[in-house]
This record gives sequence, C-alpha cells and structure tokens, in this order.
Amino acid sequence: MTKKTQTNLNENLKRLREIVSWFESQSELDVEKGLEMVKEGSELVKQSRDRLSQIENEFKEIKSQKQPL
Amino acid sequence: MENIFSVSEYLDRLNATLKGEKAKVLGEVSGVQEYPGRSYLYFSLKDKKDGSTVKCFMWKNDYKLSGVALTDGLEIIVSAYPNIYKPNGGMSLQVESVELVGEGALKIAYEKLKGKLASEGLFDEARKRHLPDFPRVVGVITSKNGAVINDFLSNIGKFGYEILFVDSKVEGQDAVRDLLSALRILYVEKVDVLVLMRGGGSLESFQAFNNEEVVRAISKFNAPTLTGIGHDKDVPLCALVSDANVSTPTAVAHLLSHGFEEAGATVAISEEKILSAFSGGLRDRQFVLENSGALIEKRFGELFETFKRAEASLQNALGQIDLRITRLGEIISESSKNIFREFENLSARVGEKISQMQKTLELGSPERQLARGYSIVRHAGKIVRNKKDVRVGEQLDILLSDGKIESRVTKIATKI
Repeated sequence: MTKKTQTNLNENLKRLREIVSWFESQSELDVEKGLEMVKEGSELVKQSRDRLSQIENEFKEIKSQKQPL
Repeated sequence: MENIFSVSEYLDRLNATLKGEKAKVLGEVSGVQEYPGRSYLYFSLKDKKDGSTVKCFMWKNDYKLSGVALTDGLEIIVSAYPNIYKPNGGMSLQVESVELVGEGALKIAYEKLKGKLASEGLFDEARKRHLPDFPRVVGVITSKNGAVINDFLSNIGKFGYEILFVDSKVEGQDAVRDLLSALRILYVEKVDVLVLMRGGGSLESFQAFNNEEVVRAISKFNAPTLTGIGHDKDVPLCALVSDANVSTPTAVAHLLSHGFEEAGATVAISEEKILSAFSGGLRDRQFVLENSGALIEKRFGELFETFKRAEASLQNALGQIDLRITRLGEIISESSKNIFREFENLSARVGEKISQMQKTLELGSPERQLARGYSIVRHAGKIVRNKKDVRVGEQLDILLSDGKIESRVTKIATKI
C-alpha cells in the first residue's frame, strides 16, 4: 500500500513532466497526438489531485514493552 | 500468633520492600572491579563530605547502556535501589544506570564519543539517506507529554499518513532504555521514515541523545531517519547521525509534508503548461486554415501566369521555327543553282583539258616518230639505248613504221 501510493504519485509527476516536455519540444503541434497527451495529462492531474487532497491521518500509539535490554 | 519467617523468607520480604526505595544517589566512584568475563561489576560510591560509603552492584549490560566509563574519583549519579545479598547478608545498591555530573564531565565525555563515532564515519554525509518524497507510514518517537507531539501533529498536514507513535522518556539517562525499546519496535514495523523529537535543554538533559547505544541504533535503522532535537550549543550526537536534522517539531512536520506540497504545485503548473501549449497549437492550426484559401488562390494565380508565359513563349518559338524553315528552303534552292552552274563550268574545263592531252599524246606517239624516219632497235626484247647494251655478233631487231628488220652487230664504234 505504502509502496504503491508512493510509486503512483512519483510516476504521475514524472509522466506529467514528460508530457510538458513533449509539448515544449513541438514547433508545429500534431493535433491528434496533442489531444491524446492532453487526455492522458488530465487523467494524471485528476489522480494526483485526488491523492493530494486532504486525507485524514491515522494515528496509532504502540505501547513500548520495557523488556530488559 | 506473630508470623515467623525463615532468614531467607525475611530477606526476600526485605528485598521486595527495598526495591520500592529506588533513588538517585550522588557520590564519587572508588574501587571499581570489572571482573572480565563476568556479566556484572562492583564499585563503591563515596560521599565527598564525610566519606560515607555504599557498595554498588551493576549488570554489565546496564553499564554499557549508560555509556559512562567508571574511574576512581569520578563524580556520578546512580539510579539504584538497595538489595541484601542473601548468602552473606551484605547490603548493596543495585545500580540501573549511571550518569555524569556537571557540565565539564559531560562535555569531555561528549567530545570523546563524538570523536570516536566520527572516526568510524557515522556522521559522514555519504551515509545520509534521502528522505522519501511521499512518506506514508511515519514512525514517531517522543514524549507524549509536552508540546512537541502536538506541534508536530498540528503541522504535518493531512496527506493520509499512518503515524505510528511510541511514547518515550526524553530526559536524562533513564530515557536510554525507552529510546532503544522504541527504536526496536519501529524497526519491526518497517516505517517509511523515522522521526525522533524532543525540545531544547541543557547538555545534561540531552544525555540519552548522546548515548552511544542510541546513536548506533539510529545509524542502523532500516528507514531514513529525521531528528528534531533542539539543542543549546552542542549538537546532540543523535542529530549528527540521523539522515536529516532540524531543530523543531514544526520544522520536522514541514520537511515531511514538503514533497506533497511541492507535488501540488507541480501538478498545477503542469496542467497549465499542457493546456496552454495545446490551445496555442490549436490557434496556430486555425490561423493556417483561415489563410489557406487565400494562399491557394495566390498559388493558382501564379500557376496560370506561368502557364500563359509558357504559351506565349511557345507561340514565339513556333514562329521562329517557321521562319527558319522558309529561310532554309531558300538556302537549299540557291545552293542547287550554284552547284549546277559550278558543274557546267567544271565539265567545260575538263573537256578542254582532255582535248589538250589528246593532242600532246598524238604528237609524242612512237608510231608518229617511226613514220618520220626514226626506228627502234631491240636486243633480246629490250630497247638498245647505248653501245654497251650489245656486243659484236649479237642479233638486233630494228622496228620501222611499216615492218621489222633482223640484223647482226658487226662492229661497235665509239663515235658516230
């Protein structure tokens, strides 16, 4: 769960940066390809915002067992 | 009837009661007996003022945890309770921990341990691990009493963290056991990041955070470590060994949530850039489409113009070719006439030449010369031109205009 969450957000941001770079590298826009990129980017933005939206933290206290060291 | 105890029973009862008399006792160390190979050691604690002395027993595990090297004359505080040793009835203090007394002694011990750990590379930058950008399971060790944990929780943000909290003493030497126990618990939990915090204080109050065992446990922790340990002058060794250190719990919280905050900004900027680039690209395409009609018309106009020019050029070329053909016909006709005339002249000249040659031939012919009285003398078929061509007695054939005479040489004269 932890790993998956981290990977998703990390990968989303990485892919978003790639899409931005792709647009910035186009001197003449390929409209079809651009539209695909916009759709993918929008989905990544939505997923990332969902993850970054306020999610309550879970607080758990673990009692220390004072065993002899 | 009153209870009657055996000696052993009574000593057990006393020891149970004495265990409740745990106290911190200040005194000078003397007569340290470490007994190599055994699991315990003895020393005496002496009152500096009147020389009162009490014998102390300590397990070597506890001694190691204390991180204080006992030497004669060293002033220390022990946490201990009294105990009567049943085989001989002697009373001693059962020491649980030892701590140094006074800033001077603490400072010396701090510097010594710092040098030792530094020489082992424990504080090297190369060992520092990168804190996760998006931690989810956060292990937290601090005291549940006090403002530290509240400050941390108030500033961490709401990013769906799972915070695993272990309460621990953070003051004095007693905190060593708690900290080591908490580190062990969270090691098993496999957290994404470990946070260890306490507020500021004197060097004395930081003893547990300068403890060798605690420092080593942090260095070996199975996740990146982040400390938020306030300090006065000397940075606690736990803060030096951790992967990242800040001075307040609020700063710890911000450091952990930094990745999430930055991700939010990255998402917003990326979204803006993508949409801006795409709409800009579309505008460019629209402009191209709007201008393509005029462009096509212009291109066709140019094409027609080129075609017209080519047609005119072709017409002109055809006229030129016609003219050339007519001229060529004239030249051919003229040339024919000239050739005919030249041929006639040439024929006349050749006729004259032939006539002249005929006359010359007629004049020089042998028949004509024979008719005029000349003759041709031959010997053996060859014409005789000189006297040496013949010898006396040889036959000669003399050719005349009307016949031949055969004769013989009778004499050859030199002169006629």
